[in-house]
Amino acid sequence: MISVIIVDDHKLVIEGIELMLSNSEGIQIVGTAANGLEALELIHEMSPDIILLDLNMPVMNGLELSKKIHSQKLKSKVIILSMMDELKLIQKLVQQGADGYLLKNSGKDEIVEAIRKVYKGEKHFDKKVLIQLMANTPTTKTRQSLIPKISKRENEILKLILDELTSNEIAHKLFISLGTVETHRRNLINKLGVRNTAGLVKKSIEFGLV
Amino acid sequence: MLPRLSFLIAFFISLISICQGQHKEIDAMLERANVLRGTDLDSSIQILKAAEQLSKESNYLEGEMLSAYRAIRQGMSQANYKELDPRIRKLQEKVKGKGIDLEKYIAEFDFIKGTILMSDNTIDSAVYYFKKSISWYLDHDMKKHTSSSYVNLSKIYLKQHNYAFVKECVEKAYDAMQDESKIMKFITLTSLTRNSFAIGDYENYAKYLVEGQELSKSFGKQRNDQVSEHSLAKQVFNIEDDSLIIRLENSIPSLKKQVNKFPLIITYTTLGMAYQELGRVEKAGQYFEDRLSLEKDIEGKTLAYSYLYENRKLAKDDSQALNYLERYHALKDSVFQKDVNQSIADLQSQIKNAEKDYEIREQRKQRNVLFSALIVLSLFASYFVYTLMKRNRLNKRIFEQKNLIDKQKIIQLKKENQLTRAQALLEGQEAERTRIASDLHDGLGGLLTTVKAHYSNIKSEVVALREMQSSGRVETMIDEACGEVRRISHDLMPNVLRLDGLQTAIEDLALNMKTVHHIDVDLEILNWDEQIDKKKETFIFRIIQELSNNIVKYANANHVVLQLNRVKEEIVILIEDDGIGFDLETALKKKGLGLNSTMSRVEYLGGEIDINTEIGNGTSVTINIPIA
Repeated sequence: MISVIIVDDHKLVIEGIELMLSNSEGIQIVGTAANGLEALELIHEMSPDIILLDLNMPVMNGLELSKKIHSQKLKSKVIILSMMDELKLIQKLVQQGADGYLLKNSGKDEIVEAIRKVYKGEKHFDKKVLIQLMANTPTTKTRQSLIPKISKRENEILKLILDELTSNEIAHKLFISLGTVETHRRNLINKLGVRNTAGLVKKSIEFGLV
Repeated sequence: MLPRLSFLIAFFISLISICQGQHKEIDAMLERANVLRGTDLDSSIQILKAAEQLSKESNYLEGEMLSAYRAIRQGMSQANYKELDPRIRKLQEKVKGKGIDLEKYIAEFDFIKGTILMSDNTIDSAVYYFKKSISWYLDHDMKKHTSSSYVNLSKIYLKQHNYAFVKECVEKAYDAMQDESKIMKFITLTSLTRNSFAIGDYENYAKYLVEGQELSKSFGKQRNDQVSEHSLAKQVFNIEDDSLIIRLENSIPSLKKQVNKFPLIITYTTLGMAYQELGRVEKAGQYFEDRLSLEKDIEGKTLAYSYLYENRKLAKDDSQALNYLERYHALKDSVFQKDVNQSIADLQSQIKNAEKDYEIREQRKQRNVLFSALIVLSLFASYFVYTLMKRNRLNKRIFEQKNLIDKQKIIQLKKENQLTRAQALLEGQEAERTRIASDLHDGLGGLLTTVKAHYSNIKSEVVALREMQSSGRVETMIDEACGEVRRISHDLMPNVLRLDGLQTAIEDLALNMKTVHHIDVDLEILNWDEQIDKKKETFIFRIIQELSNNIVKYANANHVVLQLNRVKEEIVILIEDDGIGFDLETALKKKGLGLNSTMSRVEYLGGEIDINTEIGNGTSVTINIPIA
């Protein structure tokens, strides 16, 4: 018998899922919870095989709960059952160790299948989600250069600073206000991790920025 | 025999002359190296080394010492003490017992050793060599050579916070430098001024500052503008020192006692600048006012007004700023007028001279004199016209500026009015959106889920229903309704933002641009360790969402850079694309582009936005938002 708990803050949804699973062989709903915190207590008490988990909940949301389950190395497996289909979120959940992801309009058969597969140690993802996931791993590449990218405007200003123009002259030349020039100068100083304009000049030559 | 003797004599004479020629050549090399020192240090050192070698070969000890000494001194900053020490010792050995003129190199080299050791932080040895060098010079009555050693000693003691010794060394250096050249004196004075200020010896500080300033005047036109005042302050004060403001303020009482007000003026100005940098504009303004009250001559007053004008502008006190600007121009004008009067007087005396010449040479060169008088007169006339035009232009500019400020004021008032309304609207809008989104998502979405559950249950029970054609359609329709609810609620308020904050929401946005719109996105999120205020997060997300929507819809871009950088008390957002760009003015006039709402959001957050775009050349938007 596979023991299941349902975590969702909407009574209606819990009732619906209970109804769907009521006639399924080998599956038993052993408890329900309305948010992550309640669920955590329930999990410790019952240690169910499967947790059907909604994401958007008050007090403690599904993302936080799945993180907790993973970090506390609890043996219960997590299937997310949510309305959300933001890819980045799903990637994050998969990284955190979620074993399944279903959209809330999944039919009875799919939910039952997912529970059985995950119980056996496999993964199960909604078809739409799966296609997206497969098309887009690895995740967004983050730039790994030594210094953050310098914007076009910053580049212009850096050049003019190297030409020994004053902020006032730069403002006139680029048709922007003195304040804007100063802001860009400050941003550059922060980006390059230097303390003043002299450091800016040194670093920009060092990295060949202009 | 005789021919042989004469041959020998000739040989010696030529040898001597060759030697002398070589001496001259070496001296010329030294001269050349000296000239190159300022522009090409490496070549200069190379020449000095060659000169040293040549001197050695021709036994020209003085030349050898001088070139070795200069080469070492010039290369001092990159020198390695361990490598250099044996070489210096050898050189010092060489001159022992060769008379004062050569033996003084022992002391000079000791000074160099001390300086290199000082920069190596081998302080005790450095002190030893400086003292050795000093005592040699004092023993041989050459006091003026000790000032550099004393200056360096004072620097060392300053680092060790041994203020009594610093003061002693500073005073000794001052005493020693009296016979030095003007330039050396000026350089020494700068160090002495700085060190006296650092130990809080404000009387000496003021004395040296005044002396240095007077000396610098004798070098020619250097002062009388903001830049040189600024660079003077940079030389004397340690700008990076956090306690600079406190020290400056502490120095005021003793500076007030001084007859010469220049140190006080510099102090007030530097304080003003420092406070202005800290954003304490009012306090800065007070110091600039204090400075103004001290100024006696027109040049100083003009400068004070320009500082005050900038200060008031920063304080957004437009009317006062205008007031200072007018006074500034009036003074400038009067200086200008003085110049003009002077040149008119010059011209008049020229005319008088010309007339005299005319009288004297009337008979001889009538035509020529007439001609030159005419030239002088026409010069005078053109100068006069030029002056008039310049004054006219100046008046016009003041008038225009006044007009501009008035206009800006009206615009600003209008803007402020709009802003408060827009703010209320924006805030209400976000709250409303959140409410609708969660109603839709949780309420309607949940309901649909349940409907589907019930329906599939009924379907499995009722055979007839399962066989009906419309059964599949009902399920598809429910799925579509679910998808629609998802889409609408996401548009209203992205779930990721609610659930996991700004970073994930932006990552999802970037991913979406990539997967759905096939735009290559370079995402950089820097220094993002803690969460910020939810309301702010929503606003920032909206800004980025709107700008990236614009890129997707209009820019036709292949590549986008999206950067979020969190530094100290602000967030810096950069969105840059390589698309078709647009004309900013036209875009701002058109309402539908979303630029206006982006700008009002930035304004609402108290941020700044810079849009850099050009048709055909991409768009780069930088936004700074404070998060206090």
